[in-house]
Amino acid sequence: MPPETPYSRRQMISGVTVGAAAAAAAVAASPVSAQSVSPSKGGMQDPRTKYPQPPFPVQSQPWPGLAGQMTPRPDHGETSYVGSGRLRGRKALITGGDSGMGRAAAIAFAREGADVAINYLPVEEPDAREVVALIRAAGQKAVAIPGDLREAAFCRHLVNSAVAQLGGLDILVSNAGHQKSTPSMTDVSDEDFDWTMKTNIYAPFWIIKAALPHMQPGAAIIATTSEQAYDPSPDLYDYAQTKAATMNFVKSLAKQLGPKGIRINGVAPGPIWTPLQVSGGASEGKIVTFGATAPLGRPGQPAELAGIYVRLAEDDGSYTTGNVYGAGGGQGQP
Amino acid sequence: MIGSRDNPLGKCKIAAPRPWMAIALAAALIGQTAEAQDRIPPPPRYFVLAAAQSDQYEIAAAQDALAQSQNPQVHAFAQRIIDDHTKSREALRQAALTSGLPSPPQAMDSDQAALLASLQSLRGPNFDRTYAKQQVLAHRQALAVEQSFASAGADSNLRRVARLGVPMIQHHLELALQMRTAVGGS
Repeated sequence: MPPETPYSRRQMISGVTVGAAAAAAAVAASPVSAQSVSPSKGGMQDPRTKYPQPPFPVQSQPWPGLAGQMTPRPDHGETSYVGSGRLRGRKALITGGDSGMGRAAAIAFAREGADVAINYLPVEEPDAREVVALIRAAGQKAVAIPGDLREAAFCRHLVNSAVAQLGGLDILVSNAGHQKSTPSMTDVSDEDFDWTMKTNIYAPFWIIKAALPHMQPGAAIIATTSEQAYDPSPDLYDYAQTKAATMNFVKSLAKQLGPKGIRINGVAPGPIWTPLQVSGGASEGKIVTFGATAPLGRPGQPAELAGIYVRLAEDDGSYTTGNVYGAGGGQGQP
Repeated sequence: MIGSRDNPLGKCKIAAPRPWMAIALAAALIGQTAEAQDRIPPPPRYFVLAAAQSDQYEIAAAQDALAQSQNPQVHAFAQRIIDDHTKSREALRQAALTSGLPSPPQAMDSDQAALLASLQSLRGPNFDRTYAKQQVLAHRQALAVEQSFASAGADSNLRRVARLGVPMIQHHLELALQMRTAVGGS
């Protein structure tokens, strides 16, 4: 494990049962030290060594991969994220909420007081069960809706089911994505191309279209785009263009939805340590040196984006719409 | 095959962030055997930085190669690089401390990061050819910097490290040239 500052929040909470109630108890028990360890209140760690650096072990999993089987295991904020009521009473649906950035958002949203529905593929059930347990440990309602977003009918069912079980919907995180590294575009099969387009472009269309009639002024939509939207890797010809499309629809929809009081924004991650990468999203060599190209010298962890999703969802971010927030480790745009 | 006919110098953009590096690089790239004493050596702390960045980049690219390549010769080269540069990195760190300079960062420069990023996207013979091509180029660059500091660097302690580094890099360059021929690179 990388070295940490003596008063890191992570160490402070270690040994305490995970969950908002436990975190709240810890804060109540020692308000002074709690203040001093909260990153938003002056805590400080070296961003280069805060998390694991390459080389990483050679590893691959069949698509879509499980976070629980990655080495090292990604950090989604399970033991570190502490909420402060920033999303109290909100109702969120997150696609791809079982792992990666979606999972980090789900954990953070729940600890900020939101009820959370997550969508994932049925084979991702082991990861999803952990997220459901974490949401419930935070004292919030958790709704699990497994299914493949490549079907329009399922996307509509997903939204309707989330609305029914949550009793409404005011945060939508369109995050699930498909990525398969293929060095030559002549080797991208029609089926693979269709898979990527359906998951990354059609599904957000179907889901946002179904969700909007349920969203009131103040509601927020967040789409996961990527540094790939601006600076595509040659082996991600198909994936990268879907992320450019995502960045673009954030901006067109912001113009449509601003007058209705609904905000929409994007998150553009750099190289982040998620199952998407080890299940065909990157070559084995790239996995071993993953993040080595970033000026911070390591990949990002999903937990490092949790605060961005919260920021874009919360009411305090009320003037932010049509924007893309990044976490690129020093490389890429925006 | 895509990539196989590319001019390696045209494809691999290596900028020269400092004047001394431009001079050293120009000599290296056009294959001149300019007399060492004609070159302007980098100041000690820039030499440490450049050498540390080379170590970091060489090791990362070799780790990529060990995971990605199926070619035994590429594997042997990559393992040799990791072994040698792990040692040279430590020798450099010790020398920097002895000379009262800060411990060199474990980071590559942005041009090296771009080379590694382009390598990360490749597989099979294309990976091997690109790796060999980049290694020839990277070692020519590293040799130029190392030679100029070895001959006239301002710090005797670091100059000794550079003198030890020159034959290592020369040998790596020979191996890289052999590897480039073996994998059909240009």
